[in-house]
Amino acid sequence: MDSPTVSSETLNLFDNSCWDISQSTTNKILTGNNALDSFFGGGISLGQVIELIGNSGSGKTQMCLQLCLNVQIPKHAGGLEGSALFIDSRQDFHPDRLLGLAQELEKQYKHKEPEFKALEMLKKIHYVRCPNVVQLMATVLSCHRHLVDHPDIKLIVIDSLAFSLRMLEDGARRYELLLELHESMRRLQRQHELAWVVTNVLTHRCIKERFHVEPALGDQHSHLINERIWFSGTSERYLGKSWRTSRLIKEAD
Amino acid sequence: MDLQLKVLQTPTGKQLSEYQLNLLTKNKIGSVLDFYEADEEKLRDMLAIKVESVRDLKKELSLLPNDSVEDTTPEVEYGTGMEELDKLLDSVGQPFKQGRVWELSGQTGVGKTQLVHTLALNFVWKHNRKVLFIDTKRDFSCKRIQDMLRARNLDEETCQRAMKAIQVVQALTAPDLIEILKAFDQQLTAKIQAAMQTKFVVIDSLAACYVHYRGRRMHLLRQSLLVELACKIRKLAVQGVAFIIGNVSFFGKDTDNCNDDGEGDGNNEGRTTRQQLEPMLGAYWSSVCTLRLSLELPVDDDSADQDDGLRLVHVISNTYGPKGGHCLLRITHAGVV
Repeated sequence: MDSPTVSSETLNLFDNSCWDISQSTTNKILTGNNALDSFFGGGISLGQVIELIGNSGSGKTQMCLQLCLNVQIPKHAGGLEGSALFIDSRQDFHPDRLLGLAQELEKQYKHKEPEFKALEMLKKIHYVRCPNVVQLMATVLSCHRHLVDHPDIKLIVIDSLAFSLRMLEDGARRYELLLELHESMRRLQRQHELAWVVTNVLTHRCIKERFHVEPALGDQHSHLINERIWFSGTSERYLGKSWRTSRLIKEAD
Repeated sequence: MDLQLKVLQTPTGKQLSEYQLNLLTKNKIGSVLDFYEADEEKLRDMLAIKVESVRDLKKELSLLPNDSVEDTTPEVEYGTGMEELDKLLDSVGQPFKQGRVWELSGQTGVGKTQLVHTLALNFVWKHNRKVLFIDTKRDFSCKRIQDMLRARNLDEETCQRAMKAIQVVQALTAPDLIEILKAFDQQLTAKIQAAMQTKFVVIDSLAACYVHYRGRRMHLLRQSLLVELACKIRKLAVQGVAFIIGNVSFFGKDTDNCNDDGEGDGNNEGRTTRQQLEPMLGAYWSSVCTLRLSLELPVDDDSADQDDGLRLVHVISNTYGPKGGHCLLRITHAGVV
């Protein structure tokens, strides 16, 4: 399926040091949350899979929308000038909400980039509705075609990843599909510089006859994502793969 | 002559007479290697001594300091830069030095990536050598290295040197990973300087690029890729390259736990007892690394507590010595100490 991109004789292992990476141009998407941005060193890196987790109403979708807009910040203003693909499995996408956020962003960049208009921003967010898991799979698997048509897509959002997968009764099938999704997400990242943002929900699990709140979709999934951002009721954001090891991201950090 | 001198240096050998030593030469046993390979029974009959004495003699010969070959390549002990961990490693008889192939496993989110970042940084900081960081899921972060350096209050120049010595390469699939190690080997053979200076390879994390080979049909492919990888790692390790390989572990026996999305519907009642953390990649892989370390959260009563950064390192298997030791580490801004 994939052949190694370079042969072993020409493969250069030693020309990309940590220093070179730190000197190269930015490839990060601002999250809009100052504390998170400074922790990540400028936002979410392209090439990663980031998960947003929290109870409903804690602002996950809001951040997804914000990211779709922030990815479009013009290059002169330090952005990526890309576009975004929004895969919606919950019918939770409100263009009005998006427009409101876009107008705020327009205001914020008015003095720097007068050409950066809210309505233009909306045009650069592509939207796919996936009411069931079959359509979700089909969409993710055909993402490479979207990328051929719109090579400037730098961000793909799945809101919510857990929702349609958890409608499946059969655990084995759910797990299989989840890994299949991961595989195709990573495959796409090998060919294109882009970030995936997926949302997940919390669930209960019974360990030692006590209920613990845990992220849905299991441990294997937790390993395959790069970073998990926890949303609490307040504006505080935590970072970490499991709740016990997560840490509060403060402005001062 | 060579053998006779050596035999005389051992306590058992001193009891042999000159006649017995000459017998050895007569029977065309002239070097230590010949002596080793000679049949025990034959030696017993030849020298007219007990089999136990022959065995003792062989053992003592092997313990003699070998002065000819080893001197040219002194065994450098790198150390991990973490005092507690070094103590633990000394106690299990495996200090961190060249040619080591180690595995670091742990639950997701426990801090494996942070630990391998620290190991890489400590290594380049202390030694004038380079590290190759093989990143399988884009987890390498310059920001982390920079934060650690900043927390250590180093001057600009040292930071820059350390960062330049950490080389990063992406390997998003298992064949890519093998290809990289192959290229490394070829460049070592070609005596390319950058390759010669690289003495430590970090792979983070191995599980991520093998997870897509699943199901019965992919099983054989996965196995063959693992074997190929193990061969490449071994080949480089013989040439003095140290490896630390990250892996994930899960609770319970079945790593591909289908009911992972447990919703407290009673399916998980079997988990009431504390089960052993089991690293991924199966039985074959468990025999590849000479030391397997497991990074765990310390068990305490109140798990609702927020994380205090303390982690437990367990030795879960050790080819060269005892296992079961453990030590405490703390994750801080300056890395793991």
